[in-house]
Amino acid sequence: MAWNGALPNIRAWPDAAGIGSIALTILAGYLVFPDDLALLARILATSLLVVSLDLLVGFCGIITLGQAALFGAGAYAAGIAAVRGLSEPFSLLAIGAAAGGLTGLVSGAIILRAHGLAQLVLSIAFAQLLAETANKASWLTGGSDGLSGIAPAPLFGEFRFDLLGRTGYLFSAAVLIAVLAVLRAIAGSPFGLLCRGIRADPVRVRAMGVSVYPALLKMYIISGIVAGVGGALSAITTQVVGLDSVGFDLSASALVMLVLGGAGSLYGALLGTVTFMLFQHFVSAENPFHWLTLVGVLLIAVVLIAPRGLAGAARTIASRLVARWHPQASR
Amino acid sequence: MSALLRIERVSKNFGGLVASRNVSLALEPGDRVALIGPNGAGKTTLVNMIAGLLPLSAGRVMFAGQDIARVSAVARVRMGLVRTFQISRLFPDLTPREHLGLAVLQRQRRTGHLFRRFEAMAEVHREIDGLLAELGIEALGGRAAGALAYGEQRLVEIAIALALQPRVLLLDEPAAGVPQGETRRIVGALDRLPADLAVLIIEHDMDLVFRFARHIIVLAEGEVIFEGAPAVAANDPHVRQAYLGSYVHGRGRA
Repeated sequence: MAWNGALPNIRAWPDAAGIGSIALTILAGYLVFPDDLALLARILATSLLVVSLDLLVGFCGIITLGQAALFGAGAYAAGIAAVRGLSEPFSLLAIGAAAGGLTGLVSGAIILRAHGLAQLVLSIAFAQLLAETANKASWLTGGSDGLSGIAPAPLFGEFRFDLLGRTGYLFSAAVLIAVLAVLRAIAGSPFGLLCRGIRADPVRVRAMGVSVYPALLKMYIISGIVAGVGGALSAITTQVVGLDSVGFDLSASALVMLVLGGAGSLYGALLGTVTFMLFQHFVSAENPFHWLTLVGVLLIAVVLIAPRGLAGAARTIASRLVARWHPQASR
Repeated sequence: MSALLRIERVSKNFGGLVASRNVSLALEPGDRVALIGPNGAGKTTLVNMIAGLLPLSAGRVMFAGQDIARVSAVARVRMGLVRTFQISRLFPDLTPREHLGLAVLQRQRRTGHLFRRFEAMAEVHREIDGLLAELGIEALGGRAAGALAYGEQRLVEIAIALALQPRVLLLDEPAAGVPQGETRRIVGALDRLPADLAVLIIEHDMDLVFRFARHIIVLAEGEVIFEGAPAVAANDPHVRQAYLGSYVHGRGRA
């Protein structure tokens, strides 16, 4: 078949082939790094947080520095349920999703009332409020000691969440892939189209007779569900939930990961999370005092050299290579 | 007698500046009314007030016999009161097909659907095909709107408005910024607007106005200074003087 000039659109959302290659990459991680599955599982759970942030920032143009509130709500809800005796993993995921979605509804209803800087400040304030609540309600959450004693039941009554982390990793992988598949369906739906319009020009959308606020609130709920599932996964696989899961640091790191990878395509969110967390893991082992400095340097370099993030840079390089090898195809 | 759209003694002040003063007009189905006047005469202000983007300082806007002061801009579009923008306002990354798709889906209240593929909604795409063909832009359907020539973007704007199936259409300078040679396509599109649609057009291209409008309202300094048939307007010395005179005068403020 002749080359038709069509490039894989890395800025677009993952298609079936994209999701397939993500699945293969995750499987390769399992085979190549069997001793680091706990770290890799953490990366997968965090990916869901960054993907959920991309739904708001990259897809709808909402500015938030409080995304950990949604993640933490899912983590605490699942953790508390597990400690109180409900330990079936899928039920814990559902509880995390519900808690994240509800938190998304409440925080979105508040945050979306404002725009720009005020929106940013509201998002920080809401997350801080939630973090402080988790801190003060120590009878429920374990306070600053964290919530421990989470013992999820074996998956399908068969596969235990053991110290090696095999079950945790594969479970996380399956959940991430499933979430990406659902989000892909949403991206191609009328609602996905509407969100692209809202990001480009809300005034134009209103002139077409569509209210923007309810649509954004709906996206906030979806984002909350995704983040809540991520939080529940984190609670299930690490078996602890700490205040860091609702903290400002996590919100900020998530935004850094998203910018690093490139907002607006789910690939960027995944690439940014993996890069950041591996960097954090290896560089902080090497140099525990200055790893954040190096993250800063890396981020500055990426923002200056590839303002659309690693995913954007990958696309630029891909199209240059294609242009070199198929000069007649690129116009 | 209740017109479809009736504007009664509408005024608008921005601080001390009077943008509209006591403007009244009425539109019936099938009307083709042009609103002309020099820059700064308050034409776009009037459209923004009718569309619900600006609150009135005084007067009222009636649509289908109902005072719509408290009706939001979004709800007015849903009632059938649709406007286009003076400067093209398309989503640069979306294709004309996707723009029209959003408009059609809005009309059917289906923009919130999560789990149906837009591409697989055959009946929506049939309607879009019809609209694209009507405006002669079938070939552009799949290209990013930001990459279209300006004249083509203007045609997409009109197509979006039509996709919403309005009862009243407010056209804010549909030919503004379009190169001379390309206005022909805009004129053609306007000629083919549905016969029962009520149209209020703002336009500076007088050839287009005199060809399209059957009734002309001349605004100057926010006030109606003439209202009547195009042939009369063209020969009215007051209109000529006010239009040309205050055009030069008004340009410094615009």
